[in-house]
Amino acid sequence: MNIKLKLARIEKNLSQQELAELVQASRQTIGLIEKGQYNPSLALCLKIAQSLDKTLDQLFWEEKDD
Amino acid sequence: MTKSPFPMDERTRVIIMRVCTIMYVLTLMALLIDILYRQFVLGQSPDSFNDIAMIYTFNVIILIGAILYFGGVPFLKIRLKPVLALFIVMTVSGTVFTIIKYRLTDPLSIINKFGIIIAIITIFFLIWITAAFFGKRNMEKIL
Repeated sequence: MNIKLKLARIEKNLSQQELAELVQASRQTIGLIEKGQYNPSLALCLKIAQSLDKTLDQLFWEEKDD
Repeated sequence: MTKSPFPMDERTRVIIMRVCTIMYVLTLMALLIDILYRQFVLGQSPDSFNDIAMIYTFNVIILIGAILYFGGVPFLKIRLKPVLALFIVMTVSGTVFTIIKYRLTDPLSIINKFGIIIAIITIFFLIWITAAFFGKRNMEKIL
């Protein structure tokens, strides 16, 4: 589950539908990304990061568990 | 900007492509089953389904050629052994299939067909090698 993306979206006061429209994707796609059930392309990741004023690291980077 | 009646994003496009690929492979398999069923179960003459066999053959040639072209396979790094093994497997299976298909018993006609099969499979490989060569060249240009 990508909680960072969900938090960043809520922080920006955007619904899934609004974010989807900003990045020209469907609400379902945003929902699936937040649930960790769809791996978006780098192009879509960049659009999402730019729309939420975050870096790719802040939204999508995951620390490896040793 | 007008809105499309079917709004598509990258995920839906990927799903559509995946479904199309699966359906394409299923269609090819169905064609093959159809050819074998007509030949060996219904006992129809091979001439009555030559059109299906042609469609199937051209599809497979173009499919492999397109994969080699658009994949930009490193042409000079292709290992010769598996390619030769594939050539032999295709020749042997093609010959066995032809012997059964045309019920050949005469050794002369079998040798004759064997020559034709080798020539056809060589043409297949030449098409694929050409596709791989131009695909590699195209990829180098892009890079």
